[in-house]
Amino acid sequence: MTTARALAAQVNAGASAAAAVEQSLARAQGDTLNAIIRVHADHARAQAASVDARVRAGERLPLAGVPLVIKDNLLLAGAESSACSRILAGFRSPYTATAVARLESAGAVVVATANMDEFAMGSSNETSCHGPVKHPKDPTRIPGGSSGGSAAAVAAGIAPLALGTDTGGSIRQPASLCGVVGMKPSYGRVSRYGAIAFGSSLDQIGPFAADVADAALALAVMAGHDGNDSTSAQRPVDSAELPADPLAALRGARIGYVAAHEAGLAEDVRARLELAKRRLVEAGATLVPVTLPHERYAVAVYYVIATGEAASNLARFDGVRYGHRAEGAKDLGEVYARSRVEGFGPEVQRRIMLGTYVLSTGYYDAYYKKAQQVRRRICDDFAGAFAACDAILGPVSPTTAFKAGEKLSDPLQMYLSDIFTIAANLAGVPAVSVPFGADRNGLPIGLQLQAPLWADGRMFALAAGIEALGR
Amino acid sequence: MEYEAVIGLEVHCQLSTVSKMFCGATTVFGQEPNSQVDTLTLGLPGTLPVINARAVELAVRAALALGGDVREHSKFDRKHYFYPDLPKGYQISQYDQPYCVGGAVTIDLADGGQKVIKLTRIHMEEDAGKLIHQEHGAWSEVDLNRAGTPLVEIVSEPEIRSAAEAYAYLMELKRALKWVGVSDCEMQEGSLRCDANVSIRPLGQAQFGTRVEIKNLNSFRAVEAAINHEIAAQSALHRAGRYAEVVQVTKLWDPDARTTRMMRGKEMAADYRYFPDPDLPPLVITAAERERIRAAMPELPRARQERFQREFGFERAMAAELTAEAGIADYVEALVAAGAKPKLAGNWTREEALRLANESGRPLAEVAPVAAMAGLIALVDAGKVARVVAKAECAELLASGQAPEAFFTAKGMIQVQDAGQLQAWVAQVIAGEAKTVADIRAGKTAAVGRLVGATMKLSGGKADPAAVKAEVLRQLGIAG
Amino acid sequence: MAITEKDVRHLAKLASLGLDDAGVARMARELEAIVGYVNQLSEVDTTGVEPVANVSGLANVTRPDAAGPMLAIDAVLANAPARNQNAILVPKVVER
Repeated sequence: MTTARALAAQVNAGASAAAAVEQSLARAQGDTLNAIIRVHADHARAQAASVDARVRAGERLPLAGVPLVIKDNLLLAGAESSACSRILAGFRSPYTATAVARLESAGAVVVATANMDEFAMGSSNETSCHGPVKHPKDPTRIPGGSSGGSAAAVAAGIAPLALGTDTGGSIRQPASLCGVVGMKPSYGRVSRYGAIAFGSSLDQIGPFAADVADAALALAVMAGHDGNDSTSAQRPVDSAELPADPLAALRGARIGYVAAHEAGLAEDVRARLELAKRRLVEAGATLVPVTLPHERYAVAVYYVIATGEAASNLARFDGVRYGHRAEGAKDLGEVYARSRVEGFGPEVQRRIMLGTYVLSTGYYDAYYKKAQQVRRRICDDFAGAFAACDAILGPVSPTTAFKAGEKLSDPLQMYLSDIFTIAANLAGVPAVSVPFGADRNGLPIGLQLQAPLWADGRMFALAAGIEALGR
Repeated sequence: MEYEAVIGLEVHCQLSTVSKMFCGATTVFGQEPNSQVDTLTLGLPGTLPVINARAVELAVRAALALGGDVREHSKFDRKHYFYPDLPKGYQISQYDQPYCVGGAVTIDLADGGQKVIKLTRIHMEEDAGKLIHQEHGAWSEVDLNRAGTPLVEIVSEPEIRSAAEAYAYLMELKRALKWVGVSDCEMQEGSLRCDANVSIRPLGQAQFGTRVEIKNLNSFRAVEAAINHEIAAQSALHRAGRYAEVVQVTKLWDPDARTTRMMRGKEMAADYRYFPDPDLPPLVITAAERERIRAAMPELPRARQERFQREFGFERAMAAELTAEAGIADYVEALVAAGAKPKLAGNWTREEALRLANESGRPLAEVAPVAAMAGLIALVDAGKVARVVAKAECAELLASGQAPEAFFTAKGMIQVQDAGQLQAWVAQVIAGEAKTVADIRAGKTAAVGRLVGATMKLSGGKADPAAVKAEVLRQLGIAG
Repeated sequence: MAITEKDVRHLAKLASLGLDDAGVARMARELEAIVGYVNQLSEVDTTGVEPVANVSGLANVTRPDAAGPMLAIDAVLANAPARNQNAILVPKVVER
């Protein structure tokens, strides 16, 4: 599939944005993976026409005519958005998320909305009210989650770019399982305005792409301060430019690794990780052993903080002003209790209950406050590790794509699939999943790079090097 | 048995900003329902709060005006409960790190003394919307215009001891906050709201009694009435040995029935699950910032009132009246600066200028320009215009825009004070009133008035009566 | 520490989730397992450690006091499950 960069260059040189978008729309309509839940044909055609007109008028747009798929928790004015939950059935947003608006300003064209785990809570895209998503290479398997639809859409060639959100690994894990690039920016790098909130101190919008350079380009266009988001950083945005020779960035680079990360990996995943390390050394990088002593608590910390914040963020879904309201509710109490129990799926209800528990009087200190203290320890661990290395290399997921239904019976089992990705959200550091081969069954394996806060650009340069080593 | 009432007041005051606490929707009172709603006010998914800088500035001003300790570090917390006027399902407020701790309100007591009521804290938060219950329909209507308006919540220590003190506290609070431009403080418009916490205990008992919270107080007088009602009710129960029936509840004041009733369905001590709002970085208000705001504030009302008493010699009640608003106090000082004697400036402001301003609805300085007023006062003080004449003509003079001396001269109302002329008139009267003169010499000093009156008549009303009297006494050789 | 059905009913009330009896029983079991897992946090020594307020280290993020774009009444009411011409409707609240 043509990269976003190449497509934009063609459109800027006179090729038709409308034609590229039509192709993408056709693929979206023909999707068999259930990755796509809504096609925005009218919007896409109008956008494409506008891009063509702008280019004709002399503008050169970084993402001219590039079809874009957005996760169902990212708002687009006039379109339905539901976070794949019944509680938002029929909701049409009057405004567009800043990140999406910036991409469209740069010429990208939203063609479709992608399936996701309900309210971004899941690691397999099996909790969606629109049904599960199938893995692009094996329909009996899951694509990962919660941004499973977005990852599958890029892997299946529906669009060169997709957006997801990552709270505990929801971009990187499906990227790894589907064999595409998926990146979580530094916390505050991309505005969260217009992303339906899950874990406010953890959420970031990020790109899926077929290669690192496309992902870097998408980030550079989306990133930057937004007055609508008080947690967005004022810092200048790194350019999307990567070194012409991807291996150049690796020469002399100090690549950290955590020995403890090798435990519990599927054999083929471990093998690919070891291979990557060997090739890195051959390419002139130095491997540096580092430790993250409190990482073993990351999942526990996450399930306290993320659920507490989620329980709070989901309080607005109450059947009053928008979304589902229980039929025949006789009084206010019924409006609330019945709308919410009918509208939220079981995983979401579990997390709301857990989140309510950890914030409740008598439990707040022992749970939420305690978790935020352990979180600081994790942040300090990363600071210590990055004093010794430029980036940390490791696995994204302990396994490749697992079978549908395999982990549904035990919520804790599902939570533990995020064991390698969660710490980056807690510390706010940027992290990316880079495709690095496949297992013996052809199921993709991704490797994760994590870098210091604000080193997103540098991280992409190193990631491009690893991507080259993996080919 | 004698009881002591223990009262604490929680006052919510809307800050005078253009836009809401955390978003750009506007805050004008009395607009069409749901006409001041943006995406955040509606609580739409994906929306995020951004702190209004002016709201913080006004909040700091409020704290400084009330002598509070403005903390360098504070933060916002989410307070959770479900109600249709609370779109996000939580209110953004401040819980354990408010921006201001302490403070005090000084009130004047009826016996002439003062009392200081300490504050516990002041914090910032956003207001909720309104729920209007249909009288004949089956629905309640949600109006979100007010949702998100910036508020400061001012909590007093339970040091108020009577409804009268509560009333005085509210008046003083309103004066101070209006003075520094923080709020309009209009209970009728909802920019000032008050909840009262009332308990009683036997005089001498240290332990607090059971506290009842009273809401739905829509005027200062309602606060007073409700508190008196509650004190009486609790005292009666205690006297009857039924104090156990006083439970910690929230009641609503019914202004028509003039009684309280229970709030049905109100939860006992709801668990608000406070936690720091992850969407809002903390506030840091440095000492320098605090001093910048303090330096830009005018002299505070109580200080000004006390200065008026000290420097101008005003009685406390007069000083309080003339410092009810900054504009009035400024006006009085402007008159003094223009040469008017303070007592006269005070009297004329209170009796004439304020009256004209209230009647016309126009500002003081516009309806009673300082220069004209000062000029009028000077004429009266010098005896050139009779006080009663000046009062009668004041409104017309001010409306005319003419200089006072020219105005009264044209009307022939300038009193004659020329010594020679007065001497001639008095001499003529005395010559024609031999019997009255004899009465006076016989001890009927009141008859002097007759001679004065006759002189006034002879002068066509133009003589200065005080000067005439003095001249009469002089010519008769009587000490005045 | 066990999560009892009483605990679950209390939490469900706070969270306005109308769980039925079967739902309460199931939730008690599931929450107990998860809470059991997160209890390991008590092992970590966090004496004197400041909880994380926000990872970005930002402070004093404010905006000028100016009117911004607002929604027209149709847009306000567009997604409302029950409405009349100028307000969102809920079943009448009996007192307050």
